Parts: sequence; C-alpha cells; structure tokens
Amino acid sequence: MKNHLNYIIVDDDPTNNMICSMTLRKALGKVEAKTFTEPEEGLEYIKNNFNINSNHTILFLDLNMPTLTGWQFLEQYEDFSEEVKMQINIYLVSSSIDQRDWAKSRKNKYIKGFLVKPMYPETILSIDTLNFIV
Amino acid sequence: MTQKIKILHLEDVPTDAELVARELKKGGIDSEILVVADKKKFVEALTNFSPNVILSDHSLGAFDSHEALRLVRQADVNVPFILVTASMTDEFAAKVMKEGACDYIIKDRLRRLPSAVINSIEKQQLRNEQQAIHEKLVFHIENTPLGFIEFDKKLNLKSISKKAKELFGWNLKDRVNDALNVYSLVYEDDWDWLNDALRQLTTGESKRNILRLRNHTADGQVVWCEWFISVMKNEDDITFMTLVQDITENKKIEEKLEENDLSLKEAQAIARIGNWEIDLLNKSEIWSDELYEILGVEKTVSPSEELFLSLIHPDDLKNCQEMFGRTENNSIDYRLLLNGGVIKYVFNKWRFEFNKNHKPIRLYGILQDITERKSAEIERIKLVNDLMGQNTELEQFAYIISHNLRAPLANILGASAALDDPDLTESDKETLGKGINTSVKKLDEVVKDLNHILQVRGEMNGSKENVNFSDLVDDIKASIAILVFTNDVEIKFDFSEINEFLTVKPYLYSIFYNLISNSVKYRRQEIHCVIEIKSRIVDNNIELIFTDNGMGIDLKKKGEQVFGLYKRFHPDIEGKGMGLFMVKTQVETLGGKISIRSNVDIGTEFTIQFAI
Repeated sequence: MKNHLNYIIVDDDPTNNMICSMTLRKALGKVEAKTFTEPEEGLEYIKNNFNINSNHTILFLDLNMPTLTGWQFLEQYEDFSEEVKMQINIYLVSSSIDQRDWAKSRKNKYIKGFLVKPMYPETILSIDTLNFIV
Repeated sequence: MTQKIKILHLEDVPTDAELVARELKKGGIDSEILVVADKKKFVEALTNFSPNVILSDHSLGAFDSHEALRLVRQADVNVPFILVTASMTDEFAAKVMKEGACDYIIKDRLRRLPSAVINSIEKQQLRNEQQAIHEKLVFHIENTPLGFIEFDKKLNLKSISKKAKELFGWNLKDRVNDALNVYSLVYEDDWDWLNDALRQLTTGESKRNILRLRNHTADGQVVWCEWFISVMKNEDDITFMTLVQDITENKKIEEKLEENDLSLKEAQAIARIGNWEIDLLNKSEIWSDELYEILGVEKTVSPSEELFLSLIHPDDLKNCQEMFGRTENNSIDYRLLLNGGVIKYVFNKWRFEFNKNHKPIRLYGILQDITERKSAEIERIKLVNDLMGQNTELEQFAYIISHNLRAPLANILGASAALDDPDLTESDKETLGKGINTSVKKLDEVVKDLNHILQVRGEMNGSKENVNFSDLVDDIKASIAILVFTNDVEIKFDFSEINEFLTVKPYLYSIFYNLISNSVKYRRQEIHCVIEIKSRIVDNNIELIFTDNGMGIDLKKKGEQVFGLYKRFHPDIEGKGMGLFMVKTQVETLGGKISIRSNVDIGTEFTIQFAI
C-alpha cells in the first residue's frame, strides 16, 4: 500500500527538500517525491496533474515561506475540486511550532497532522497512511 | 381749677400774710395757705406740704429770698417761686428773676397777685410737660441700639449719647467732659471717607450720608460702625447729627460670606467646575465665574441658553439637545467648540426642581472641564495600543527569529542523521555535506541579520542634524546612477513645502534608499519607470510620500505581511525579504509611522509621517 503513495514537498528551503527526499527514500525505499521551493509552482502542479484517478498523495507543507505562506497556500488549495482534495493528505511541516499555528491547523479539515523538522525515517513511518477514504 | 391751690407763704409779718390771703380770695383763688416765718419751717414745708406755688417776702431777718430760692433748687422742687416784697429796684428784680424766681409782686400792688399765681402754675405745668417729653425722648435715644452724636464744623463733639459711649466703650465718668474731636473716634485710614462725606453735606451735595467706618474703642479695639450723618445749618453754624450703629457682627457675617464665596470660587477653579441656575418661570439664568472661564466667555456677557448651545461641538449638539429636552435629572459628556477653535471635553450634570404640581420651576447644573483627564485617557489608550502593538510585534519577531534559526538547525540535524546510514553512496554523502554547509552559512546569515535588526531597534544613539531632503535624494541617485541610467528610471521630487527635518541622517538615508531601490527593483519592465517623492505638512506632521508606477503588491492578499521580516512578494525577483521590514523599523525608531497603498500593475505609494 505504501508504495502506491506519492509525495509532494513544498518548502522554500532546497536543503530541507533534499534531506527530506533522502529521508523518504531511506524510510520507504523508492518513492515518487516532487519538491517545490516556490509554493505557487506546487499549486500549479496540483492544478495541472491531478484528476480523479490520481494516486493518493501526501503533501508536506512548510508554513514559513516568503512569497506565499503555508496558510495562503491552503486558501488557494481549497479552490480545488473535492475529488482532487480527496487524493491529498496535507501535513504541515515547520522548524518550530507556534501555538497559534497549531490551534489553527486543528480546525482545518485538510490538515492531517503537524510535523516538526527535521523529519526522521520514523516520522515518516508513523504517518497513518490508512487515513484515506479509499 | 377745681382743686385747692396749695400755697406756701414765707412771711414774718402776720398782717402782710393776711393781706395776701385776702387778695387771693378776692381774686377767686381757692387756696390752702401755709405761712412760715423762718428757715427751718420753710424747709420742712417744702417736703411735707408739697406746695403748688411759693410766695416769699424778701427780707426775713436772718433769712432772705435768695437763700429760700437756693433751698428750693437744692430740694429739687419744681414749684414756681414768686417774690412778694415791699419795694425793690429794677436791678434787684432782674437779679431775683435770674436766680429762678418766676415773678415778683410789690406789696402795694397786690391786685396782680392772683393772676400771677395762676400764670406761674400754668407755666410750671407747661415746663413739666416739656420736661416729660424731653425725658421720654432722652429715654428713647438712650435705649435704641443706635448711638447719637453731634459735632460742629470743626468736628468737635457737642454731645454724645449714652449708647454711643457704650458703643465706643467709654467710661462715662472719665470722658464725659472731655472736649473730643470726631477724628479721635475714627480709624485713621477711614478719615478720607468721613471728610468726603462731610464735605458733601456741607456743600449741600447730599442731605444725608451713610458711611461704614471703623471706630476706635477705649480699650483699643476697632469696631465697624455705620454712620448716618445729616446736617443742620443755622446761619453760620453747622451741626452734624449722627446716628451710629455697631455693625461689627454684620460685617463679620459679610466677611464670612465673602470668604465662603471666595473659597467656593477657588474650589470651582481648582476642580474646573462651573455651575448655573435657570429660573424656568422667569427664564432668567445665572452662571458662575468658573463657568464663564470654562466657556471662554467674557463675564460681561449675559448668560443665555442660545449662547450656551452655540458653544457645543456641532457633532455633539443633536445628542445634547435630545438629552436636555427630556426634563429629567441626568448627566452627559460632550465636547465644546469654543472661539478660536479650542476643543474642550466637559462633564455636564443637572437637576430639576419641581413645584407641587410637578411642574419644573428651576434647573441647577454643573459643568466640569474634563479635557485634561480625557486627553490623559486618550493618551493612555493610545499608549496601551502602542505597547500592545509593540508587544505583538516583539512576539512575532521572537517567533520569526527562532523559526529562522531553527530551520537551518533542523537541516543540520536531519542531514547528520542521514549520514549515519552505512548504505549511503558517495554522491549522497557529498550532497548531504553540501546541505550541512549551506545550512551553517544560512545560520550565520540569520544571526547577522538579527544583529543588524537589533542594532537599529536599540537605543537611537545617532546624533540629530538638519537633513535636507533634496540633497539626500541627489546622494542616493548618484549612488545608484548606473542602475537608474540602464533601466530608464526617472526620479522626480518636490520638497517645496518642507525640505528639511531634524533627524538621524543615516536612518533617513537608509529609509529613502530602501524605498527608492525597491521601486527600481520592482518596476514594470514594459513601461517608463517614474518615482515621485513629495513632502508636505499636515496637522503638525511632516509627510513624505513615495509614489511609483511599478508592479504593486496585492494588499488584499498580502496586506498584513507587507512590513514583515523575510516576507517577499515577487518570487521571480531576488530578495531577502528584509527591505520593508528595515524601513518600518527605522521609521519607528525615529518616532514616525509608515503606511502603504498599492495596486497590482498600477503602482505603490508609501506615506511616512514624522511629528515636527
């Protein structure tokens, strides 16, 4: 089952993205992971590539990005169709937890969890992959 | 005359006494006559017999009529004394009359005796009546609370009543015969008033005068008296008749009232509370001094509702009129707009007085100037808001900094964990090494940024100087000349309204530099880039307005973050996201404010305000 999952990483820090991809590989073996340092490009990718038949995808979303914050990303994300959004589980990823962000994340139904950097293989394995409505 | 007239006859010749008795009877006088012949019997008879009239011979051996008259006076007997004697010279007669005899009869002409007796008795009665009236008058004068004094034009006392003496505290026995001048009664400082009043009376300018004078008393006290002076003129002679009343108590009460009034005024001035009263029936109105003061109206202006309403701030007038119109006790805060544009905050409270029929008859009100308190309150609210804003900003700053420190740190942690994997390829190891290196550099950069920000935020220790705006812009233009030239940028400025400001030059330079270079950086490529800078004075503030026709920022989406640290709005143009954050920090460090208006693809306008 896990091998059928795709991964998207949206984070303005390329070093983080590189480490994250390696950690994913270490935890799960060969995985499909797309990384975007510009959140706008991430949105564009979802818009162009997702349809009703797409693979289930886990999206790691950074909150602090200069041009578009994670929250602004989510506002635009909400405009996607329910079918598309059903394919994607979003995990917020941040180098530190702001209580306000954390509280806000609990109210957003598209956010499945809040992870703190750095991500270790154990972090990735602990993500409940059965959390999808299949 | 129905009663018998009692006659005491001093005569040592019995035949003469009989002749007199016969003559009286003949004259129709019904009398009881006691004849005495010596001094001893005469004296006894004066008290025991109580005569109505005394007839006396002149020469009685060892006794005579002079002596008899003296005895009569000594016995304080008010009885007419008629001399009946053989013969006398005119000189002698005049002498006896002067001594107190009321008539004289010569024995040879006794026919005149009866009418002389009747006349003398009638005269005596008249005198007695006059005496009674006089005594009554004196009694009244002595018993009124008013003292009475008379003095002549040289101001020497002619008479002084008992009450006046009491008033001035004189000992009757000691001072009664002293020749006194009025000045000795009056306190020196009040002499001028007295002189003035007396002059008016003398010239006839006034008939009577009422004066309030301080008077010396015998025991050295000063008492306040009211002098009612009138004048009596007889040919050359002038007499001033004066009634004197002790008003020390009234004066004390008056002074107390004055004192109370003064302390009330003082209290009103300190509390900045004025008051008024409106008689609703007569439509008359009274304002206290402090109310005039608060309203900034001259005290000579008569109070009126129209005047009062005209001083209420137009924005508050409708609300006030609605409240005033309700005929119920109430209070309200509002503003006054006074002459010269002065705005005051006031607290107004009022109370109606109603008659038996529940009709309002009187309105009492107070008006307190609460401008100071209100300004302090506004200042306090502003301060609290500023502090809260600063606090939130600091929290945000702390969070951003910790986050930005934590990000490269997390990378290093993640990378070093990944390096533990024995299955890593050489190229993976190299990538991770590069990652760690990048992160360490990033960490260093964040710490440097932090340092830079804290330096600006810290104590503003740069010295202030007069900075010339046009020179500043010229400097910046020169420093970015190549950029301006190659990119077809036009920088225009208009500092005609104000071209100088006392401030810390490096900060202002940095602010101008950042804003201008931002405008160049985020210009629209397809059009001619125009940057305009203008200065003006608005409400004691200098406003600097930077306008460009560049790409603009979507404030609806990103408004909150415009001045945030590490916030960027144009992903395709390189930047650290620190420029506007630093501009805002520097503006605020200089005590100013910055705001932005922007439209995507139209341009951006920054307005900076500094208090002068």
